[in-house]
Amino acid sequence: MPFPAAGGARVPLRTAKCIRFARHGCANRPFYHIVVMDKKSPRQGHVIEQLGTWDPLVNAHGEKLCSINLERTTYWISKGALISEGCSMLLGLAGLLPIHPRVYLLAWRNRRAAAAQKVQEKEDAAQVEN
Amino acid sequence: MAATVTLQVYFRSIFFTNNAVLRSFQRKSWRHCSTSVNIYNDRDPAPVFFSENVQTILKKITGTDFNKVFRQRFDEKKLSPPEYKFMTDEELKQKMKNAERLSSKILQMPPVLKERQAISNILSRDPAITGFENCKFVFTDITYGLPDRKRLVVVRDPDGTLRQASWEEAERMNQIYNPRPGRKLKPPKLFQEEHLTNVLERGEYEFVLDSACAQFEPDDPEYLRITSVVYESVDKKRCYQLLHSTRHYGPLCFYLTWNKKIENLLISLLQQEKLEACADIVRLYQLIHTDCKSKMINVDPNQHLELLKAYVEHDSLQQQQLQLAIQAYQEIVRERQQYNENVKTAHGL
Amino acid sequence: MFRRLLCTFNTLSSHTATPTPLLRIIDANPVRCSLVTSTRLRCKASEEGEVQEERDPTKDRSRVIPVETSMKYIKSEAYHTTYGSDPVWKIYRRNFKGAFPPRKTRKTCIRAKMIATGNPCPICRDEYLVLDYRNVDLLKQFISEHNGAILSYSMTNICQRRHKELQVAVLKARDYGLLTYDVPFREYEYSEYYTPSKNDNKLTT
Repeated sequence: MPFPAAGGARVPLRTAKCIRFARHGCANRPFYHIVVMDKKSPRQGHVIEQLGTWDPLVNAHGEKLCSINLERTTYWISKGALISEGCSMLLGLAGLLPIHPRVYLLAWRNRRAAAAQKVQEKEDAAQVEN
Repeated sequence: MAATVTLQVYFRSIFFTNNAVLRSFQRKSWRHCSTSVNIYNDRDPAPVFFSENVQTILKKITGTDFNKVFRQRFDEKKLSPPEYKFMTDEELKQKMKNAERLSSKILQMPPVLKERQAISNILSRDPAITGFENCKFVFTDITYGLPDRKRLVVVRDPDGTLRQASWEEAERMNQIYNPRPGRKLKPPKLFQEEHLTNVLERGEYEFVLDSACAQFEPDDPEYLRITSVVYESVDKKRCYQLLHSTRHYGPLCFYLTWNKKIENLLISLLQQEKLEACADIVRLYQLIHTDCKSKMINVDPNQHLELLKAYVEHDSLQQQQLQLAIQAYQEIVRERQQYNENVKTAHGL
Repeated sequence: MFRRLLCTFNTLSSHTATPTPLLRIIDANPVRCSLVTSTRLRCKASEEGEVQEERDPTKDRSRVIPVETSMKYIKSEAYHTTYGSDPVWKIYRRNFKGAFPPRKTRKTCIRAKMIATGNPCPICRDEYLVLDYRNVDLLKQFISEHNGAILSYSMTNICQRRHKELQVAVLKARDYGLLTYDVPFREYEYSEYYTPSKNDNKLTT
C-alpha cells in the first residue's frame, strides 16, 4: 500500500525534516513532488506535507514548470527544515533563496564547453578546407 | 452637418484600423483584426461602468424574463423531473423572491474594462547563470486561497533575468494548476476569424459571448476584440432581442452608447413600443458622455418622450430616421387611444 | 477461441508443403464453427488473390467516402426516403440472446475493411454516414435534445469504435463552434477588476 502523495505523516519532534523531491511519474517520464519529509525516511516514504511539483521535461513552449506553495515553504524553512541540493537550486532560481553556488558552477562549465565546441568546430572547418 | 459627420466617421475608421493593424502585429498570426472594431482605448470605461447610476440603468434595461433566464441549459447535467406543488400566497412570494435573487446572480454582467497593460516587471538580473539551461523556468505560487489574478508567477529566462510572467504565461499556468471549468489551455478555434464569422452568421451570439467569458479575462485584448465583433454584428442585424434578459445585454448597450451608435437600438426599441427603455438608454448616454448637448437642457426625467426628443434634436447622428420612428410610435399610440375611446363610446360608457 | 484455432491452423499449414483444406473443424459443435468462420474464409480467399471479385459489394467498406458527399447525402431525397425525419439509430434493433442485451455494444462492425457481422450498427451499415466534425446534421442526431449530452451507446446502439469517433467529432465540432452548447457559468468578483477610488465618486453623484 503506497503512502498518500499529499502528506499526512506524523511530524516527529526533534528530528531533522527535509524539503526534497519525491519521484512520481513513470519510467522515462520523471515528475517530482516537492515535499517535506523526515530526513531519514526513504525517497518514496511517507510525506509530511507536499509543497509543490517540479516537471523537469521541457514543454511545448520551451519551459520547465515548477509550482511552489510559498506560504508553507517559508513556514517549513522558518521551522529549520533542511533543503536538499536539487530543491535549493530550484528555490534559488525562483528567487526565494540566493542562487545556489552549484548553479553558477554548472553554468560556467556549460559556457566553457560551448566555447570549446565552437573552437573545435572552427578547427574542423579549417581542416576540411585544407 | 453631413460633411462633418462623414469626416468624423472617416477619422474614426482610420484611427481604429491603425490600432487594429498594430494589435495584429503584436498578436500571433491567426489573431488578425480585419473588421474595424472600436475597443475601449482612449478612455477607461471601468469607473463609468461600475458607477452606481450606470449599473442600475443597465440592470433595469437588461430585463428579467424568467423564461429566458431559467431556460433549459444544454450543459450535459443530469436532469431532474419537474415538481408541481400547491403553495400558499406567502410561499409563492418567497419562491419568487428566491428566483429573483438567483436571476440577479445569473444576470451578473461581465465587467467592461480597458485593455490591460503588458507586464514588464523585472525582479532581478543574474547574467552569471547564462548557459545553465537553454529553457525558461516558470515558477507558480500555489498558495491556497489566492484569486487567479493575484497569484504570483515568475519566469527565469535563459539569460538569468528573473521577471514576472506575462499575462499569457500566467493564464496558462493558472489553467494548469488551478483549472476553471469551461476554459481550455488553447483557446477554441471558434475565436479564429473565419470560424467566428460563420458562427455569427448563424446568430449564436450568446454562445460566443459566453465562451469568450469562460475562456478569457475581461480585460484581455482578445476578449475585447471578440465582444466588439459580436456587438457590431448584433447592431448590424438589429437583433438586440436575442441578447435581452441575458448577462450580455448590459455590456452591449454600454458598448453601443460608448461608441455613439444607439440610433438603431432606439429605433428597434421604439418599434417594440418600449419607450421607457429608450429613455433609459438616453439617460445612459448622458451619463457616459457628460459633455453632450442634450444634458444642458433641463428636461423632466420622468417625461420619456421629451428626453428622447431632446436627444434626437441635439446629439443624434441620424436625426431624420429617429424622428420618423418617433412619429410612427406616436401615431400608433394615438390610434390605439382613439380605438379604445371608440369602443368605450360604442359600449355607451 | 475460434481465432486461436484458426491461427494454429495457419501456422500448421505454412509448415507443411502439402495443400491443406481451408478449414479444419476442431469443435464439438460443427454448426457454430461454420457460422463464425464464413466471413473469415472469404477474407482469406481474397488475400490469396484467387477470388478477389468475390468481395461482396454490399459488405465492402474499402472505399473512403468524403465528408462532403455524406453531408450532401443527408440532405438528399434518398436519405429522406430511407430514414424519414427520425434519427438514423431509431429503426435499428440489436440482436442478442436472452432477455437482457450485453452491457456494451460490439467492439467494431468492420474488420479488414469488410462488414464482419450480420447486423452492423446504424452507422456502419450505411456507407454514406461519415462521422466528422463538419457533418453537423449527423452529429445532432446523437445529441440529447434535453441536456446536450452525447447519447449513450445503449440507446443509439452504435459499436464502440463508432462511439469513440462520435465523441471525438462532437468535441471537435464544439471547438469549431459548429455545435453550440451552454458553457459553464462564470461568476465575476468585481473587486478583483476594479476598486473605486475617491475621485470616482464624482461620477456617481
